[in-house]
Amino acid sequence: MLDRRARRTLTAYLFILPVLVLLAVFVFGPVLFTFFISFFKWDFFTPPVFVGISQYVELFTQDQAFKTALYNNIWYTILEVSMTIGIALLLALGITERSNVLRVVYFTPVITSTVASALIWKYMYEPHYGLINYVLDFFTLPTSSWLLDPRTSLLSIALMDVWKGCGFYMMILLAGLKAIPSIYYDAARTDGASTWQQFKWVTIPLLKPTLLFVLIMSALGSFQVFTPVYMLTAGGPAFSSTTITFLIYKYAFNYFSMGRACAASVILTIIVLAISVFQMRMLREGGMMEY
Amino acid sequence: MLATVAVVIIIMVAGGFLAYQAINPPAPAPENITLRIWTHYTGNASNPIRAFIAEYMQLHPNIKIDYEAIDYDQMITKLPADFIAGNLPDIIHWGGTADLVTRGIVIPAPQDISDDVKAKFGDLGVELMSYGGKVYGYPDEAGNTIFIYNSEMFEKAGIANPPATWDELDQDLQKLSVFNQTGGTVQLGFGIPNAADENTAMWEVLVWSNGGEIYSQNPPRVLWNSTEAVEVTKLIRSWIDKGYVDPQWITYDQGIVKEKIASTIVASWFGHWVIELEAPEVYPKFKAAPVPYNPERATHGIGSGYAMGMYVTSQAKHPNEAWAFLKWLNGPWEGHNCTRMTAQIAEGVGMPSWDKTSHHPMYDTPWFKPFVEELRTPGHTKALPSLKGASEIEDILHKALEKIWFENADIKATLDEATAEANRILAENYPG
Repeated sequence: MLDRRARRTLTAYLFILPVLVLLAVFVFGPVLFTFFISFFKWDFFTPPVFVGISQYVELFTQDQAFKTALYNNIWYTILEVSMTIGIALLLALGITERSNVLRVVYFTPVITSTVASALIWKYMYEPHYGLINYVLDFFTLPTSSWLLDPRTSLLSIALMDVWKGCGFYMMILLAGLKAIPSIYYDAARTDGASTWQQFKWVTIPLLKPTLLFVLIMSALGSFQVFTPVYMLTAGGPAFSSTTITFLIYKYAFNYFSMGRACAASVILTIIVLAISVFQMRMLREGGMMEY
Repeated sequence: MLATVAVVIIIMVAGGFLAYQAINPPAPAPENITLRIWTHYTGNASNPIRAFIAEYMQLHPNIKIDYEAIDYDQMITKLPADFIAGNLPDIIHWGGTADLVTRGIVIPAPQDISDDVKAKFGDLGVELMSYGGKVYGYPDEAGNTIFIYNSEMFEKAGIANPPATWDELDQDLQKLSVFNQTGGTVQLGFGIPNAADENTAMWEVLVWSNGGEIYSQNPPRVLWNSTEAVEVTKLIRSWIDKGYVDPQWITYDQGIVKEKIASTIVASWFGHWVIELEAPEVYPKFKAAPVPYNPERATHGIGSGYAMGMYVTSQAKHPNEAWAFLKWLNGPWEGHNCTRMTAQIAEGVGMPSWDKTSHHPMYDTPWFKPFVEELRTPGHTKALPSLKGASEIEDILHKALEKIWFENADIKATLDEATAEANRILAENYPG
């Protein structure tokens, strides 16, 4: 017979059992299957053939497309994260005391369908008839081919992604700003600190955990970008905007190379895990306790 | 007495009837079956085939045909998922015979169907639906790619006829390309198609029209860095340098349709599905012509064809009935000078079919006629071989060409690198 504590533990597990089963079937199971298939050559249709780690080796040594995608993804992350944090922080600082209308305006892109947003931006980016070049030309500023130029295709996608996600991070930073007690600002003002000095010596240190959270979340998201790439450029021109997730899709469903797609997915998972571990270590330090 | 005789007679008649039934049993009622068919003909493009399916069901009341229109992009994810689930339809309309056969997705046609295909279709169409010497289905969309041009823009530039040779094309592009006072482009002579498969098809027809080849045979290997291929690439690159071509234009929707680009190389579906739908007033101005060729290496232009076709899948529940339906669909359409499937391809998709004898009224239109003529003139249309891994190989070529168009990459080095990468993949699939 189980004692009372054991019975309570068993009851708790029974309550979460349905969710665990769902997680096992729809999350952990596919993850394990992906890892397993990455050691096989498999095209969905014929039996898998064991090839060991050769597909991993091939991705890093022979597959030009994968190396290009990895390089593109790193650049994309740097672009997207820096723009997202900068703009989200400015918006959060700017509307702290403003009305809720502005918050709704900035948050609306977050809840808009990514596919619909991408289609609109694609029209806006059109080099000869698009809105962006029209406005630039109106102010006699230089125009660009945006999505059709290998030099600007990645930046163009990043701009759309920043517009789409900024509102979300703005809300997080806003919450972080509101959590900073006003006594610190009062003390700083009493000591004669300027606005910039208050920002540098009060806001930034106390906002550090929130900033790190935003940094890591946006980095994780940027490494997994797919829909904007698929809709705006299909990875082109000349693979200049091909990212790892887009390449995984091509491996699996264009080339029917499921083993290679799984190997690339595992590599992406390791990158994302590394970023997450970094986040957890950094969030253990800093914040108001350290201040 | 009379009653006894009556009973005996009744018993004898009944016995005779039963004996007759035993010797000549009545034909069993036909089994009710459902044929499932997938095609990528959605919306209005499927109107003709749906009408034919309704007609077939009327002729065969025990057969129900379940037509499922699947968008082209969705098919590539649906196909593997449904294969694994054992849920493939009886008939699938797709392309790439080698991929479908080597992956066990489709079955070979029975002998009578194979003979029917060979009798009705041109050699190239039959070849594209064959693998290992066996026929696997009925070819339909020919989709041959040739030169198209805006005749009004040509007239305004003082050009009476479309170019036949590369020199003529070069001269015409110079006249057609117009710039403003600050050097900005007002009009371009030629547009490079933006989509991967059309971009590579344009390059391939020009290589053929320069006397070159794209693949060697036995084992198949790409020849993208051949002398002829490098010459073609240099030619197109020279057009970009001279300003006749700008790869950063959206050729179809912004260039051709808005009459900012005078010509390109594309398949016949483009006429209805892009020009006519987006700018019906512009469509009558467009004409087609054979691909310009280099007379130093070739005697005529060569267009590019591909084959989509109807196959019976390996998971078909009713393969015999499926083949029978396909034979009927590709049979003569009463009162018309073409087969039913030819009508579907012409009216639904705006393309000629591989059927070598059919004549649809659309074939007489100024837009269609050159496509059909090029398709049916021996040696004027080639097709890439159906190979395993074709999709990835096409992407490698596309990336190499775009590096040359957009980044002015070294032509020989880029084509050498792409050739090596593609042949590495081919060597895995075809060790030789």
